[in-house]
Amino acid sequence: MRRPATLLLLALLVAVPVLAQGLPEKSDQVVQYQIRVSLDPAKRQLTGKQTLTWRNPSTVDSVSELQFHLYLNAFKNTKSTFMKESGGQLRGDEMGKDSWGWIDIATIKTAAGADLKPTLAFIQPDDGNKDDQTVAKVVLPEPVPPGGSVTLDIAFMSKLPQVFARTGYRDDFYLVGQWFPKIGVYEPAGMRGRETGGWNCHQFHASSEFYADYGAYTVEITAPSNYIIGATGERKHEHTNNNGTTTYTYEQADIHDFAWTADPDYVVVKATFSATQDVTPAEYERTAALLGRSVDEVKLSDVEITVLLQPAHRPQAQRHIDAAKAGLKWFGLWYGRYPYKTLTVVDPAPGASGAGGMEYPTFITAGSAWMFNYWPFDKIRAVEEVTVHEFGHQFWYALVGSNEFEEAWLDEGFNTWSTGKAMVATFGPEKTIMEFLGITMGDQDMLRASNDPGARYNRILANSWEYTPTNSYSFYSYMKPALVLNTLEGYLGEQAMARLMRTYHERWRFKHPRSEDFFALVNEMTGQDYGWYFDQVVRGTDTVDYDIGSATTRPTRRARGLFDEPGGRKTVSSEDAVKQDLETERAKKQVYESVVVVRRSGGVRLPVEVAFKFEGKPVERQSWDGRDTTKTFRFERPEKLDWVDIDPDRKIALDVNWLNNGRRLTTDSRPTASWTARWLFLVQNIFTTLGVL
Amino acid sequence: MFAIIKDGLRTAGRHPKLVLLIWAWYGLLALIPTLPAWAWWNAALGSSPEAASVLKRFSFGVFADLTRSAGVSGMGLLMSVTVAVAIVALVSSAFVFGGILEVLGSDDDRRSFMHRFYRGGGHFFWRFFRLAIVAGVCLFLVAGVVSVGIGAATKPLADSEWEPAGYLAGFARMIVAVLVGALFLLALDYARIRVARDGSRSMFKAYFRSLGFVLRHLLTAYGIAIPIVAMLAALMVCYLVYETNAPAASTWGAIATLFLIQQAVVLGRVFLRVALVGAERHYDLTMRPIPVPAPTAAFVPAVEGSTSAAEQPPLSTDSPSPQG
Repeated sequence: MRRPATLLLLALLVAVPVLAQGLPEKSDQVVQYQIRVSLDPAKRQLTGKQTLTWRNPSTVDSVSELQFHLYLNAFKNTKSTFMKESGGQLRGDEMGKDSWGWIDIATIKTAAGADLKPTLAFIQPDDGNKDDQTVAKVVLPEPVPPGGSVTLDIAFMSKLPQVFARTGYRDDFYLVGQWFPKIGVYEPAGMRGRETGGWNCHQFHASSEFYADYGAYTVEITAPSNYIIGATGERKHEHTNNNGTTTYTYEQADIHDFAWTADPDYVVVKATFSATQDVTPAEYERTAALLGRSVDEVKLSDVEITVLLQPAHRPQAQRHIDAAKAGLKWFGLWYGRYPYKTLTVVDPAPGASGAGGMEYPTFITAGSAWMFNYWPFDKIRAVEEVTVHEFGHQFWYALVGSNEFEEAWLDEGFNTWSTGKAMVATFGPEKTIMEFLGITMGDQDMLRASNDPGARYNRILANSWEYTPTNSYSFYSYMKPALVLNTLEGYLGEQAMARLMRTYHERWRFKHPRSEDFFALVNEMTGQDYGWYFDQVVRGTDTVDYDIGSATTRPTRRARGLFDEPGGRKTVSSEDAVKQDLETERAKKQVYESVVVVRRSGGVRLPVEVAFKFEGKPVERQSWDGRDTTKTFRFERPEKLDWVDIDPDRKIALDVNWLNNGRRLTTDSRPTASWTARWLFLVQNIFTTLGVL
Repeated sequence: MFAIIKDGLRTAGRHPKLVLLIWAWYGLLALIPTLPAWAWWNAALGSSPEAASVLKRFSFGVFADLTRSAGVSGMGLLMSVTVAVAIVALVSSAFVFGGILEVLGSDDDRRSFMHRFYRGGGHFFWRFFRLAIVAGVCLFLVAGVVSVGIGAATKPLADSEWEPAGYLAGFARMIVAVLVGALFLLALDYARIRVARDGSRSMFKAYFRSLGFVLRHLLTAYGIAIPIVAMLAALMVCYLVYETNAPAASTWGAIATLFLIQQAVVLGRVFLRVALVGAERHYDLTMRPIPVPAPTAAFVPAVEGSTSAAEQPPLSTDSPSPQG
């Protein structure tokens, strides 16, 4: 009996650390929502009843008040913080005239019947704007003890706005997001670096998304029977009512938000992502090798994909499905299996583009247009890019629940970087954005073009509503973080980066990490302190720019003058020196002195490699710590210096100008000739078009 | 109509020197904005190892680096150059058109081809330039009225919930704009032909008479132009197909090939434009035959349908002598 017990203990000792590294299967469910909601299309209104059970996640604090997001109140009037910040437009879409949206809490009671409505008050933790009603608090009759829970019954009415910022209606189309009273996140001391426990419940801002706790949702949606409904999670029941409506019941655990859509015109297209057919054995093996895992560990599971398509976009159905499958495959292989059984892709109605390009758990909205059905516009990969990106948020938002208010880069930036990789894996590096009439553009081109040397007034690590100007949110949350991760990958190498991101995802799946957690993991996995990097590029505002100050290569000349040598003083006249130089030249025994001054023109100090190519010799590389503003390299060689290039592998994606990274000592006119020929052709065509009018 | 188009093509074929001269003319003008661009790019790209990437494909990254390091906006620069080129092109067109008409109309003139071209260009320049302004003003005014009308007519389409309707509305507006624009431009062509033949000094009168002529013979006027424009479109499509599918121009040989193909396309475009002018001239001559001369005339005039345009006397003989 003893031996088996010892073996079992040993097996457990071995297994526990291995299991601890695996993918978490479930979240620590803090909330349970049961919601019954009905849509009244005539009034653009939702009427709902919600039973919310909230568990106090603290082991120390008793919580006496609860805080809620009432996001729809952002659209209540022009004095809300959202409207003040956005001016009533978002991403080019403007709010419809007098199309206000709001949410009213009709009743809010504890399960024991205590009425909390008299204690309900709007609070403005971010900006003190007393007119903003997007956060409310209620005081409980008695505090919720550590680990204890409270159940509330809430009746509410939501009036949807005409969609321009994620949620609302357009004609018969409804995208219903941020629509119910949603409890904030109570962060106990220690969570995300907090010193004391407290609520994290920000107001709704123009440049911010969301943050919520994981839990289980059961939502009954009642809508007119002619409407086609799609929603977060799995549809469990469908019941036709006597009044011309149908009630659909959706359930999903381990998520932190719930959205749904209704439109009578949807074309429903279904497909299955097959873990055995859509991923080849070779792809599993390559990924396992890359990540240092077994093939079983990187195995995926089947997912039912539903695309709710606008009728005019029917030809794009397969493109959405392929893009969703590409996302399921690559994100799943790299970061871990997509744990849900369903994925719904919603194609917003014409005029409702404000609802497009958005993510909710198991439910994403795409971005498309009719012209993308046809050549040559079908070669613009907006459909694929948006679908893959929004799907990617299932990993960087839904599964790793970063606080998008405070550290948007952890989801948008990580996802922009991951989207680029998934698109490259699917379409190749230079064609991820478009292959349009012979012109190709990839994600890296877009990132590089966005890397403006003038963008040096904000830092990545900032509250998302505090970037100035407001529109720089996209650069600091999406683009620059992707460049930061590309550069980090340049330093670490592809394999180490892949393993880092996999581990980060596994460790923080169903949790709420902060930037420090990522930084700590980088240090842990590399065994080095990368604080020097993140301090500059995430916490700092400076830019990266390395360039060549000067580069020369010329024959060395014989020294002339008086020289004290062991045999006595020797004089070399200028005439003799010139003669001897000429002889050396004729004998082809010249030695060349090559001098290169490399410069750090940006404020960020990063170590770089400098490549030197001498005629007829292989490329040589030398390292420079990049700390000083200049460094001079001198060589005396029988060969002339051909060219010099800083960061020859272009590992430092953050560099704002790659064109000045290198210098050729002999001009190569081919690039100029290639561009000049095209430019001349363009101008000649303008002349021959207009010049004969 | 087919015979007229064929005649136009033949006319262009009979005047290869004219086609080459116009190609060279615009080639030289195009060098004006090209040389500074070449100098700028050669300084920035010629010495940068990074520039090698543009040999493979157009690199937006290199373009962004290039314009930002020069402190200019890429699109802004492109637009300003395009506008400047367009203005020069419009001014120069008055000269070139005069040269084309004079060369086509003076085949029997023993003076050198170059002499005739520059003689016509100089002689008709101001009148053709004024004609272009008249046509431009008319086009601007009418385009404004038409765009309001077509905008109102297609508004239900544009506002439709059916998404393709918005594109159809845009397409319809574009087609109408092109057709209306073409009407005024065709009238400009015929007005220039008329002025060259009749020696008219009133550009308003000449333009509106030609506009009336085009409106009276709308189908034929468009019928002559559309096939030639279609050939031009086909030429550009062929180039795009080549540019899309040809290997990247990364070697001197490939760059030279690309350049030669581009120049062949430009030559083709010029050829087709000369063909269109030749066809229009032939049609004008057919519809407005040269008045029968007095019995003392040294030649027997052509009668409509009795001869081909090649057999017609040159335009310069029935217009006030440009040489004078």
